[in-house]
Amino acid sequence: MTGALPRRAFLRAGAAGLGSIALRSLLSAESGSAVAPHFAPKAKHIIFLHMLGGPSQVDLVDPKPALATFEGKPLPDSILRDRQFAFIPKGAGALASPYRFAQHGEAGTWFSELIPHLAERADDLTVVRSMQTDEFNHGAGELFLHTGFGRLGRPTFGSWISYGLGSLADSLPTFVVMATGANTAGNSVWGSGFLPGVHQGVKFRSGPEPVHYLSNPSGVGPDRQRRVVDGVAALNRIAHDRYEDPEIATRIAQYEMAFRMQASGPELMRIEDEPKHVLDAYGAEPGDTSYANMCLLARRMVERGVRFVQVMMAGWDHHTGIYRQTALPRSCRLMDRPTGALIDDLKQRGLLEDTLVIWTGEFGRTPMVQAISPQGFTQDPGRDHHKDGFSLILAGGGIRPGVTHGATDDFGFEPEQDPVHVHDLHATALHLLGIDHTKLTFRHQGRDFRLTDVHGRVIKKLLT
Amino acid sequence: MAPGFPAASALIARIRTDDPTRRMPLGGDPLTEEQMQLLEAWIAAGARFDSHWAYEKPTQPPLPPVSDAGWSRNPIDRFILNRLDKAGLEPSGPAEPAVLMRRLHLDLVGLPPSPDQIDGFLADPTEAAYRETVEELLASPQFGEHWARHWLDLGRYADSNGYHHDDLREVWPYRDWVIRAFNDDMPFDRFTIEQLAGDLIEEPSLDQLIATGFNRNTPMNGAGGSKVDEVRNGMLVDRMNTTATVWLGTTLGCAQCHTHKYDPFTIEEYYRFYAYFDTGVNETVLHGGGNTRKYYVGAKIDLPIAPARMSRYAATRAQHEFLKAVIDQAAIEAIADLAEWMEQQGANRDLRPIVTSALAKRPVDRTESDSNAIRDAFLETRPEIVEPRKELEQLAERMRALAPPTVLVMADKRGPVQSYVLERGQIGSRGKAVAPGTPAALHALDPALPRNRLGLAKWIASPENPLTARVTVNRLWAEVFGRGIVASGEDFGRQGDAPSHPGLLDWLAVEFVEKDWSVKNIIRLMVTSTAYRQSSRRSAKLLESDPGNQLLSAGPRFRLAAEAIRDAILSASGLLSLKMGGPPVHPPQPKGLWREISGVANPDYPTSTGEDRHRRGIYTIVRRGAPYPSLTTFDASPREACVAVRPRTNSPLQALTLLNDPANAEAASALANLVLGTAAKSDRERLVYAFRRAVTRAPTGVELQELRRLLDEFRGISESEAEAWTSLARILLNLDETITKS
Repeated sequence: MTGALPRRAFLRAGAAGLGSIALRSLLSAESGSAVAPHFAPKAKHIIFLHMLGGPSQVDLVDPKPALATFEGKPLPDSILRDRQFAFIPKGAGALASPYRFAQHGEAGTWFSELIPHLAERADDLTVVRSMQTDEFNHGAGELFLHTGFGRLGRPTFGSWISYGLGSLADSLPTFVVMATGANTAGNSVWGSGFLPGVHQGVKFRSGPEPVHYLSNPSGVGPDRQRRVVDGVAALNRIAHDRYEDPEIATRIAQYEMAFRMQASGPELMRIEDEPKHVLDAYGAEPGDTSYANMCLLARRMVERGVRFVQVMMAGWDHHTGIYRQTALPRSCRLMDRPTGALIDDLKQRGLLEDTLVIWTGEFGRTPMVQAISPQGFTQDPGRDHHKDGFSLILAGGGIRPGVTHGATDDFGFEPEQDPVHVHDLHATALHLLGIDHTKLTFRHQGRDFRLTDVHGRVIKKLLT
Repeated sequence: MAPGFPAASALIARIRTDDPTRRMPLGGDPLTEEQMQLLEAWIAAGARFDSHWAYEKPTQPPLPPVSDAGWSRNPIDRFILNRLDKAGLEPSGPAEPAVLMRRLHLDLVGLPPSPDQIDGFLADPTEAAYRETVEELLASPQFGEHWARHWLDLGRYADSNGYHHDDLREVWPYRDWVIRAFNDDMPFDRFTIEQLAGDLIEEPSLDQLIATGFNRNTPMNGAGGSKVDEVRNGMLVDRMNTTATVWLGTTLGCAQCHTHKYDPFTIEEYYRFYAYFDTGVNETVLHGGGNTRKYYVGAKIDLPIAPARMSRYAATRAQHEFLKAVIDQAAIEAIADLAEWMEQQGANRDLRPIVTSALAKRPVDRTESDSNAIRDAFLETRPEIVEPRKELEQLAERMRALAPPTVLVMADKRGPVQSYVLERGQIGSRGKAVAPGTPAALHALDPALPRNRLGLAKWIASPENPLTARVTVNRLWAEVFGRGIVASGEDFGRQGDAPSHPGLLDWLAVEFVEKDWSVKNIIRLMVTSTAYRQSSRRSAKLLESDPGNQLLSAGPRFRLAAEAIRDAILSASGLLSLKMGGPPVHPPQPKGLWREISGVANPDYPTSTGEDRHRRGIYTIVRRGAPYPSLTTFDASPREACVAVRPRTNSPLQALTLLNDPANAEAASALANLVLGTAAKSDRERLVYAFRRAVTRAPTGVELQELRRLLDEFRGISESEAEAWTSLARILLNLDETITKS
């Protein structure tokens, strides 16, 4: 009797090519399927740390003494040209950074006093000071950072990687998302656009149910749940004999995966199992919805085979509060220690070499002041959104460490040397994963779409 | 190129040159000698391009010969069998009656039949009885609810704006209009014209205005920092790309930045098409201090409401206005005590920080918002203000509930509008001025038509249009058979897929136009064909020789759409409400999802009560920023853009949803109660009944044996019969066959 055939034996028997349990082979025929890496990869995982709102590069990693001499005065026309900004008028004066910068590590990389823990790891980090994007509003900017396009509808970076490379884990999703607060473009920055929905990011939340519907219905214990899942499998196997539809075999395997996730999801989230010194290094507190917890979870996920971890930290939209202790300095404090601890932790466990860490905002901030009050003056100055020149930090995964790449003009307004566009970031990251960005395509509405659209260059200087 | 003279053609010169800065393809490897000679031979022969098949008006081909004339019930079968004959394949035998009934119900009304609904047919499964069922289902009001779903995907219908804030919008009367149009079998040309240009028809009816909601469904970016003209351009681009995809099956969008690489559309033609939409009124305006937000200012209309409700609304509004005036007066009088109150607040720790800091400032330093904060805090201490304010809020709530619903509609600016080519698609780069017009490669634009959206709509819905009818019948085909005759339903251009049955596509397209553009006629033809009624069991041989069932060597078998899965589970468990129409409903979902929307003004999800918890999926609210998770997990579109072909994935999250979503647990418990409440008393009868509610057919012997074993197992670990049956019902509602059309 089929029903008596042990479940695992059935899976091993491989009724429809189910011999391998790697999720990649479970993608149904209609889900679109993975493409092989195009060449040997340097990295297997990406941890994408997105500072929502856009951190101020001239207060963190791109020191600009010239801003002090122009303090309160408009930047020269030769710099501004016909640029548009989200909120500030064109004549807004320069705002010097109130923070001290110093060189760190053997590489002599510049960091401001706001991020001492990152500064301490200067020789593991690479700073790109010549970033550019196309969009200067949060929603469009987030979409551009994650999909390479400023409007809704395209697949995200993580979903392209799920589509392109498939999974490494047999009981966790390929693409996981965590956030400390709301982002502007919502679910679309971990959606799959026109790629099949199976490639979308799975949002993990803090609390008792990290993934929707991960817990059994109320009153149902593990034993009963196991019997239900086995019963579904037994009857689906009979249906498979009846219809010989490979989709049924896939569904049986997905139920098995779901059941395993019910155990592995909560296990993954139990950071209280970590030794105290690890929790302390990150500043993680079990039960919090903090960036620190998410950095620690990111490491646990990578360890368990999650390919793409996207962490979004809210609180970087400093239209005001460049000086104010509870604004920019506070965001830096909450970010700095855990990010440093994550780099150390990955390194100690030998995970950093095949994990690419990307730290960035959807754009940067203007070197000019934003004065928010209608009178045109504020005691709490901030900076507006800035797309033409900003900075990001990279580590691990085949990135040459201890490098400062690219340079902006005297005011930190626009790259003067080695500009790197968001498309180039995508192309370079895909390259590290063994993917030629021009060949990772999906046919949609008559066109072969790519993450990098018709753009993107691999920045060779950044590679080991 | 100089046709006939390769040596005089620049194309040949450019591919043969030794100069790498000029040689094409630029930066690539030179063509091989063989390739170059092929191009030369082609130019020598006159360099003729044949027009792409989809741009020629279809004609109805003669029905092709087949090996077995008896198999064929209608013209569809002649084309299907002819193609199978050519491939050396035999069609599959007929599906068993219960499986066929389930398929038919799911395709026509989107709901599985209950055992009682089909027992009559199973007892006497004749051709006449089958056709009678088809007619009953085509006439059922649930028909429109099922068929509207695919149209709302195309029309990216949603109940919110999308983007930052993701404000809710009221456009559900459009959704109900689509349902009614399918139920009434509105001729598709009229259906087209009213949606694209109902507002421009002379003396439009209310329904014709509501229909224009189609193009109002465009998402709207309400973020303050985005520029009004860029937001407007994005909305126009969405409208014209959607219109081109939905009716023309073309990727006109490719010509937004440059002349189309594969299809005969120039960038100038793109902006001539765009000009039809460029006449629309402005829809967004910046608002608020610091321009932090945008609001919708486009056209909308109030829907008529019953006179009794209207008079209650008017009375409530009058009471509201009166009470507000009373409170305002009381506030003016109270302000006399403000200075004294302010002096007493030095040690008050209960004030909000913003008030404390405003009080700490010197009066000259206080901003307007500081003064407002102080004033508000003061008034909150006055009972003569606070008490009536509560009443005011209640009145406001009553007023909101009574107010006439509104619907967003299209409207054009008065006076002429000049449009331009936007170079590289950039709004800052205006090129040549252009007038509205249609692509030259398609049928001619009748000069008698008005040069506005109405003219465009009539051009699109013209029988001369080579695309509209083909694209539409292809989409209806895909809904029933699982994939289109042209698999790339959104692209009939040169880069799209070739049709698997070109003759059939053209035959259906001509039939569609000739029979008054009747959608029901085409659906009837499909579901009464022999091809449709085949068994969907596929042997290993068929899987190999007809992968994807492209040739229809077997009946269709595929997973249901997200909404249909919800409906099927609610229907199997007897919970489904068939209430039609009205504002969107809010079935239970995980807590706090709306709070995760950035800048959200209304973060509380108003979970529905009563039968609204169990309405059909088409009525579930579509909030773009946080769409209903149990639907998106099954590939429902978040309606951010036009979706012509929904993917059908198979994922572990789907398993988690069906297993653990409390809504499904509730359904399982309801199914268990239903089973225990029937007249059936033996386990066997009850198991058969429960199984049939889920998958329609009766279980086989092996299945029944397995069901009995499971029931015994659950009895062993359960405290009541209800608990044991609920576990068994969970299994039934999780079966592949329960969420599949077999």
